[in-house]
Formats: sequence, structure tokens, C-alpha cells
Amino acid sequence: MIVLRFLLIGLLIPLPSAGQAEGTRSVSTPMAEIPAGHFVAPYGSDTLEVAAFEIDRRPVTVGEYRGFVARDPRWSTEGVKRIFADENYLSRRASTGDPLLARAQPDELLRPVTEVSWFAARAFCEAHGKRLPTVNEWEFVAQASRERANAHGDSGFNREILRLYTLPRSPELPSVGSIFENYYGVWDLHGLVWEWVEDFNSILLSGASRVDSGLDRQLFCAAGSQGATDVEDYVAFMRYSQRASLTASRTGRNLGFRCARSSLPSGSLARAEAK
Amino acid sequence: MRRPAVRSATFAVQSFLVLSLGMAAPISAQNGHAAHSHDTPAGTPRVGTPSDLSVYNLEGEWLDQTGKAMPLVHLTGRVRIVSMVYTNCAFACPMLVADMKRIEASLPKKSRSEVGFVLISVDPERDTPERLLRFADSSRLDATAWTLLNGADGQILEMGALLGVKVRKMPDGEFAHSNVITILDQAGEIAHQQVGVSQDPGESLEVIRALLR
Repeated sequence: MIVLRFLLIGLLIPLPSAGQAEGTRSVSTPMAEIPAGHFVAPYGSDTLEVAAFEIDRRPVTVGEYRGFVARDPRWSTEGVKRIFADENYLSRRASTGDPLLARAQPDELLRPVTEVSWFAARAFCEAHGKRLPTVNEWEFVAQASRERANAHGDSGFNREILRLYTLPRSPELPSVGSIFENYYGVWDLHGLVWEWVEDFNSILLSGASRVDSGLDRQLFCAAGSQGATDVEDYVAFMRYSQRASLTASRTGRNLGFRCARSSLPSGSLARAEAK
Repeated sequence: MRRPAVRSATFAVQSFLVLSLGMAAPISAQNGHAAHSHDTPAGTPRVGTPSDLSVYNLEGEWLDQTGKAMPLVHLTGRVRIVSMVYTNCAFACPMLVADMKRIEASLPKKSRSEVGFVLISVDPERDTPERLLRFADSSRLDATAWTLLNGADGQILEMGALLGVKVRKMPDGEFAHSNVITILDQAGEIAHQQVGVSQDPGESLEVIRALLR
């Protein structure tokens, strides 16, 4: 049935190769297609379904963000409303007399943009016909090692991730695409910057009222997370805690983002078949 | 190994979260004429650009309980007492509304017209303007003072982010959300937040009095 549907689509629409499709659809960052799947999030025991989606293969760069701000001055350091971004928005470069928007050096253009708020990150993605990934989407892709889509429970992978998270930081961030490429061809989910997700604000830390609120207890009691699905997955707890601590106008030196979008059912079928 | 330094923040959040376990009340038959029998809810439309810290900078199409478009900037001009709720919610939301009514009842008569109350639904699918109107009626909310808003998921996400209200749809269709009553000044800037249900409104009333001076 699926094959038949694909054939029909193939008859109706001239099917571009995967490369061409990317060229016409993507205005900036190349995206990786992530097939639908399910996983057990590190903070709970429920199996979560994730629909097919696409995600940027690397975090948004300074260069890309610069282009965005040039087109939309509402997101310049001068134009931004304080309620949408705190006073450190894009500040590091501004404070060194090298405003992000004016005179970024060529090598700087390839660094991940940071010091952007959730609102700013959302606006960027929206301007590119995308959105921020959800926390489940992000975590789903992030559980992939180099070799496997799901490296959950792989102690070697967990150790490697932990090592990446604890590497000493140099004053300047490395370029995107320099840390780690996973099974899906997605770079730098670990070890470069923290990343905004669309629904960071729905991570509830209740710890009361409900049996399954153990889910939340684990987030801030990582050390004593007896209920955790995978006690090795310490860095996942760090991520969930970090997200839960954020506010939407907050910016941070190590907080960047990448964009995603939902796959079109027919399009993804056709593309999957084309491979 | 050190944990990330978010513990105090998470405990703060934990302390005011109540999981709202709603039992959906049976919905009575649609009353298509109800909308016409009501006055326009409170709102003094003012044109202009919101201040830098105003919540009313949020764009997007909101509908009030009469089904009328309500850009947030139209809420400018009055002190607004705001919370995010949903009408199927059986526990925390009625308490939040009751807390807001308590604030309303404590206001001097002469100040009533300068203060408005806003309920933003976190459940836009079920909380249509019609349903919000029925809720306003059954909760005896004064239509000249109370505005109930229906907006898209993205808008609710943004509003929650601005007000620091965490919202999460649970697998059973209910919503867990933090219980916060926010006082916005006449420009829409956050003046005060009352966290948790059944709190002493004393401090909130102080803030409102100061804003009305």
C-alpha cells in the first residue's frame, strides 16, 4: 500500500533527488530527516511517540543569525523589546566592540550563535519556515550515537557524552560541525552549546499530587534517582534540569538553538523511498 | 559530582504547582444566542506601541468570550489581574478564579472600573468562546470586568513563558499548570505575582492600590 501510494505520488509530482529537494526547500541550514519512532525519555517510564520530522544538521550560526537580524531589525540589540530578550542579548560581541551584526570575523560566522532568548530563537526559525524542536524530538535525535539510532543504555556512548559535557571550555566556542556527528548526520547535539526547545516551559517539576510525578522528582534529584529508567544517563538529567530553570527572555553564553519542522506525510514518503 | 545550580529554582517551582485533575462537567446544549445577550467585556481599546516590558507586545489573534477579536494591546489602560486556567479543570482553576474574585470583592467600589480580570485558557480546543461565556455565566463573572481569552497553542505557550506559568498537557487530556495570579499595570507590565492558590491577597491588594493612585 505504501509503495503504491509512493508510485502514485511519483507519477503526479516530478520527484527531485534528495539533494535537489534540500536545495529548494532549505534556505539556510541543511536538515536531516528523522523517521517516526518511539523512545523512553530519560525522565520517565512512558514510551513516547515521535512523528517524522526534520531537524537542522547543526546549530544556527552567528553568520545565519546576522542575516536574520539584518532582515528583521526587531531582533537587533537596539530594536529588541526587553520583555523578549534580557539585557545580555547578543551582548558579548557588542561589549567587545564587535557587534554581532556589524563586523563578525569570518571564522566567527561559523560559530553557534548564543545569547539568544527563546523568543528570538523562535522568531528566527519562523522566519525560515521552521520551528524549534520539541524536547521529545530533540532527545529522540540526541540518543543516537555515531553507529546507532538508539544508543540508549550503551555505556560507552554515555561515557563519551559525559566526557563531552565536562570538557573544559575555551573562551571562544568552536565552530558548528566540529564536535560530533550522529547516526542521522546531525552534528553537535552534545558538547557544543545548550539548545532551546519549543516546549521548555512545559517541563513541570511538581513532585507532588500524582504517582507519575516521580518523573519530575528525578529531574532535580539526579543523585538519588532510583526511579530513573537509566541511571547512567546523568547528562540527560542535567539537560532537563537546565531547561526547567530557564525563562523565555533569558540568554546565555552557552545557550544556542537549531530549528526543526514536521515532515509532510507525502513528501517524507516519497523521499524515504527515493533513498 | 555537583548538580547544576538549579535546585533552588526547581524547588520554588515545585512549591506552587498543583496538578489540576479536572473532571469534565457535562456540557449543556449549545446556546447560540448567549453571545448576543451580553455586553462587551471589559476593555478600553487604546492604540499605541506597548512599552518595552509590556506583556501586550505579544501578537496573535485572541478571541474573547463573545467571540470578538481581542488584541492584547486593547487591555491597556486598566490594571489587569491575570491567570491561566481551563474550564474543565475541577480543582486548582476554580480556586484560582475564586482567589481573583476575592481580590475583586476587596476593591473599593470606585476602583472597580479601573481594574479588569483576565482568564487565559490553556485548553483552546475545548474552551471555545461559547464555552468561556458559559463558564463566565456559571461562575457569575461580571462581564464588564472579566475578559476570557481563547488563543492558539503557540500564543498560550508564549504567554505562559512571559508570565512564568508552566503548562503541560497530560496524556489524559488534563493540563498541569503552575498556579499564578499576575497583576499587570496599566501598560501591561508585570507588577506583582501571587503564587499558589488560596493565598492571602493582602500584598496583591497593596500593589493594586499603589497602581491606582
